[in-house]
Amino acid sequence: MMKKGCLIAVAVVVLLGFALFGWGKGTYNSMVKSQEGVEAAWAQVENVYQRRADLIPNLVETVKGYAKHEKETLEGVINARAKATSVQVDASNLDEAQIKKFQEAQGELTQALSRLIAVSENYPDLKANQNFLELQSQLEGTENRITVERQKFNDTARAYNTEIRTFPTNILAGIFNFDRKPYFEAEAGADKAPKVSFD
Amino acid sequence: MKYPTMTDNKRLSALVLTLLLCLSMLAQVPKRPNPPRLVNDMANVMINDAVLEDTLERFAHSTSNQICVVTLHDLQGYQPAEMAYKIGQEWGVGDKRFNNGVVILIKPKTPTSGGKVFIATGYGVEGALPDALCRRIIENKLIPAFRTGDYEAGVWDALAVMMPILKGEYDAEEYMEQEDEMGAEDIIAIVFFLAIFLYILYWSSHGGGTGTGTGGRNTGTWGGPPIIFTGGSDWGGSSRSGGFGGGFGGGWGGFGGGSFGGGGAGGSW
Repeated sequence: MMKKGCLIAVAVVVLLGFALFGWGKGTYNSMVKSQEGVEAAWAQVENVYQRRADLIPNLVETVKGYAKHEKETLEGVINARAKATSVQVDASNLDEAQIKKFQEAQGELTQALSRLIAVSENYPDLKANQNFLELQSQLEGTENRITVERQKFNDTARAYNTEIRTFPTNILAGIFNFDRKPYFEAEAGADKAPKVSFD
Repeated sequence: MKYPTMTDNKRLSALVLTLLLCLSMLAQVPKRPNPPRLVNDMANVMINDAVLEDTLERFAHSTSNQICVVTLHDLQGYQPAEMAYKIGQEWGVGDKRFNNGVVILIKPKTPTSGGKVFIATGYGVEGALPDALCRRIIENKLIPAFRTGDYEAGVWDALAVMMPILKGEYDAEEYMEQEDEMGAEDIIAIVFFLAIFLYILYWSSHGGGTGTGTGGRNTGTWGGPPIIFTGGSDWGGSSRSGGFGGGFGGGWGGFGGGSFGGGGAGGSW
């Protein structure tokens, strides 16, 4: 009698162990997959920002040829670009502070660029330059891509965060240190047109 | 006990707010058509969109590139670009493996609001249809036709450019170069249309003359010149040919889950 009871108990434990292992494996792998997804989305974000940074030297050169007096604006763009590209983000350890720093640096570049575009309005020859027009449309396309990729990153991060914080996944997430991913915030004043001063 | 309930309330209201926000966001992008259609004339500006639909379905069927045309009266506060990407992404225009979808979003001009158009390209066709080309198509093909109110003609003209490029018959660079040096072809086209015009003039004057004279059978009927109509696009290489007979029953397989990354260009008139 004792033996039989023991056997059943062992069987139950083994079965439970298998079930637990199955659940743990499934959940863990799914979390890894989601995390990879967030990192891939982040890589896309960096790609499109890099694409913008790559356009700038050409843009600055072109504007320089027509608007020599806008030294300050041009330098502003160059400095902001240098600052933005120097911000390195570790995709696997993305946190609030890092993303904020990244966003601030890129935001400054956005501002500097929009000032440059606003200034270029004063130079009809520049505005008629085919190369400038081409660059401007590429810049526009890049800003579109940035918006889309940021949105996608936020969506992916949100799905991941929801997953790791839902019971019972949150237990495993806690054990294996799956941390919450930060979001891009809507930029303050990003929707406002750049200020143009006439002095 | 006071504080927890306060935060609970706050949390609850925050939750409700986010839910509402999500719902309202979902409600703004038009629902994916069921059964799936590539031409979605929600603004009712096209007369013969069935032919367009058929052509696009055939194109999707034979090349797997999905070109989706959407007309909307209201962009729900979105920028045209945003709306076009959202439609592309949420409907899944294009094949999932190749991301080869294109969304042509048109917001027709109304007395109170301007017209807007955006061509959104999926990740996979950003190379074939670069932003600069999309911009050109919009400025040279779509907007001129849209200004006259002929939305269908504009879309046909744009497709005459896009389809051969997507098929790989020539690439965007080649097209743009060719378009730049189109002088000779323009003259040929003008001569051609002049010839047709004179032909019609000749026929109508002759037909009219004899018609009134004989009375009897020929009265009133103008007869009309035997015109052979071809394609109608002003640029060679249009894949459009006659005979859009039915018999092609939704064989394009529906939207494929393609993804969009912000490629394309827009314009307004």
